[in-house]
Amino acid sequence: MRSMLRPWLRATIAVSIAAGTPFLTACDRGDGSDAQDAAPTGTRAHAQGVASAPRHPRSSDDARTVRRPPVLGGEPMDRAVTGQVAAGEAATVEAARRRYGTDLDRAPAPVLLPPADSPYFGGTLIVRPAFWAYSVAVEPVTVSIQASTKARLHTPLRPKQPEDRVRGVPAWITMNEGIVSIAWIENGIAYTLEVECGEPRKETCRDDALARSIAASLVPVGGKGVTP
Amino acid sequence: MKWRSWAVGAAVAFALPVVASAAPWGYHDPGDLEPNSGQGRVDWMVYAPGMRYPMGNGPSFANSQVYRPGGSQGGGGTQCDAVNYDYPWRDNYCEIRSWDMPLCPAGTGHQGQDIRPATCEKSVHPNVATVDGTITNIGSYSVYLTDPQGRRYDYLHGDTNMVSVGQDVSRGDPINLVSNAFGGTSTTIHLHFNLKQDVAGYGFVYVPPYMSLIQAYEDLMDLGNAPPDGTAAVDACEAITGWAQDPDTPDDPVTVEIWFDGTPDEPTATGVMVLANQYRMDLCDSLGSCEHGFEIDVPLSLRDGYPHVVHAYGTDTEGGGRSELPDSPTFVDCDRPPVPEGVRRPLAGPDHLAAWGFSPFWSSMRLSAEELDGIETGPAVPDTPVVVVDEANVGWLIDGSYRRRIPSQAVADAWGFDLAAAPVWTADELDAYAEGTDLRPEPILVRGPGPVYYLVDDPQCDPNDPACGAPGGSSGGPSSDDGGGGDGTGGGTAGGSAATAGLPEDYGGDDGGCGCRSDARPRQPSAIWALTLLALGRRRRR
Repeated sequence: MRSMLRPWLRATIAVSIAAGTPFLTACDRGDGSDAQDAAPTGTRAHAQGVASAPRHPRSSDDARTVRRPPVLGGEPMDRAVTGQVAAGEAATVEAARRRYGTDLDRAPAPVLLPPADSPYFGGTLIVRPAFWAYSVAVEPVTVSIQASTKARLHTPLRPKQPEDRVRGVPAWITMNEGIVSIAWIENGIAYTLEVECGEPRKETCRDDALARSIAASLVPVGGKGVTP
Repeated sequence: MKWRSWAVGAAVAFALPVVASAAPWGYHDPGDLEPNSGQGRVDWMVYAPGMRYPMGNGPSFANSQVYRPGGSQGGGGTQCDAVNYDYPWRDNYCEIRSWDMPLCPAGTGHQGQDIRPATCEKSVHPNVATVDGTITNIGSYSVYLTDPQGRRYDYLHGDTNMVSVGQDVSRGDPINLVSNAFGGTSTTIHLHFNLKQDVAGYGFVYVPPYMSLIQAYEDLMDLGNAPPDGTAAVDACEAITGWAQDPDTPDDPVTVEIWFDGTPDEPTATGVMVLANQYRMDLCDSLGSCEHGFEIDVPLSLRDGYPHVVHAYGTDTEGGGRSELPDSPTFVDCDRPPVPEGVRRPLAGPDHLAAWGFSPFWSSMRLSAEELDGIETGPAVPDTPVVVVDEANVGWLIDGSYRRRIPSQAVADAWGFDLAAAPVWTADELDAYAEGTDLRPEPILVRGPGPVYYLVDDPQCDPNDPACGAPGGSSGGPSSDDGGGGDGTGGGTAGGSAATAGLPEDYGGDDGGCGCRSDARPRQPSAIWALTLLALGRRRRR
């Protein structure tokens, strides 16, 4: 599916740009004519309207007795830093230290930031007990990085391994409404990076190359688990 | 009926240019997407329980922006067509897209839910904070709100932002206005709403928002009528039982939410959802309908000698949100059961627990440091369970260099193993592994003061290992009657016979106290692992 759609998508973008027309309509960047498996008809769907349909959430499995239903919202579980995380190159660490000071010490997980000589260095760092988040806007791009130390365990969801890799580890790379998102688990901590482009027609906004390069460049500058 | 008056009121209030809802409130099932728009995810889980609805007010209309009138695959019309501004809602998480989405059946799909505001007007209808939290990013057409637990709520395509990065906001605070912003171009007027969570075994991924939105919308709009009636009680520390019935729809089953240690809006509370649809003869006469019972286990993690408040809610079948059942709350106040004897096998963290489907909430006990130290440490639990069936259709867990029989379907269910999907192994393939103990009836986890969870399990040993087969060998496992008092251990031979103390009576009866039953031949570990890999490569589906 993906391999079929992506060439189509590239062609659509190219044609749309060449024609000078917006290629984005109502969030659609896929091919509606590409037939997937037939959409399931929900067991309680109501094609004729809702008069006879249930209007309330059901348990995930109401066909049999469920004595231990999954926890709503998942079970919160702490992530801990695994392995040794060495601080990155000194210039970035020092620059981050000057700029963010003790926020780095309070961060619950290794803080990964763009290098000091990157245009994406110098954004806002937000530190909370269960996460840190970083945001920087460099027109037309906005970069968001976030780390989580609080996983949600959804027992019906068995893990999957992504095929892509960043920073030497498996990573989910996806595009959401024109926002490239990369998610990975590094040293036991879950990270996500988003690159949003305010001008979708710009070269740098057309694929995931920029997001990949930013992810690859991130430097551990401090936070829990980072050793100088 | 309350919902009817609400619908009429909405029609009057939003006469023009509003296209008001004509149908009563309702929604298609999760995963039931617009025809030919892809394969949805059938998932009734509420991933963000208790969140506020992300728009300031209603009505609003969750449906596809692409496969409806005015969309590129909508077959004509305009985005403002009345059919787009009407119920029922329709899921569009996983709608056809080319983007990777690990939770979508196709592996790709739409990451969130599109929602149209009350009217087909931009920059009018406010988006508001779903939770107390912090604004962690603002892009040219996005705002990210992160709650204290690190869960993220994404608002796309708005304008007129009223927040800034780093700002703390409270639930219900204005974020921006629903619009059609989309970078250098535009989209339809709608809110694209994502839930992004750190999911064990996946990392930070987009999870289905549909049921969370429905619950929040019903709470916001209060569309119901007479609230459900019912009861909930703790039965001998074994079960929480009760019944629920909506008097407006007396024959329909009611969804019951049970919340422990708080109410749904408290972040420390833990909730579960169960359908009250069990047959109970005693209800037949009193309710005029019999299938309204429910029963769940008392979570092992709450059987700790301390009282835990239990709130029970019935959900109005006609969209009125939750109503606490008349005799709620109640309490769980149960002593901790004895800790099973055995060895404790470490689990590496959330991703490891996810791989096995272990639930600390349902299956774990909290121990003191001394108690934990009193349990001998066993080998780490394998990274993922490898479950196979033999040619006689008996299930086996491949556990390191051992094969362990899964003695019944009930045990397989308790461990979350799907035997029907397990590959068939030949006797030769299975014989490459020493036969270990039967799998225990259910997984029991323990945790000390630290963050690490352990599986309490039988020790395994190879009968050809001299340290294994000596009946009456030196003491090794915990000796106390409650699963390991502080001084009950020490230094016994690893895997020695004392480790059998906590095992079933029929355990190891023919092999001198060893955790093995077969005449397994000596094997080199490396050879065993090579055979494992070979066998895995050769596995075949039934």
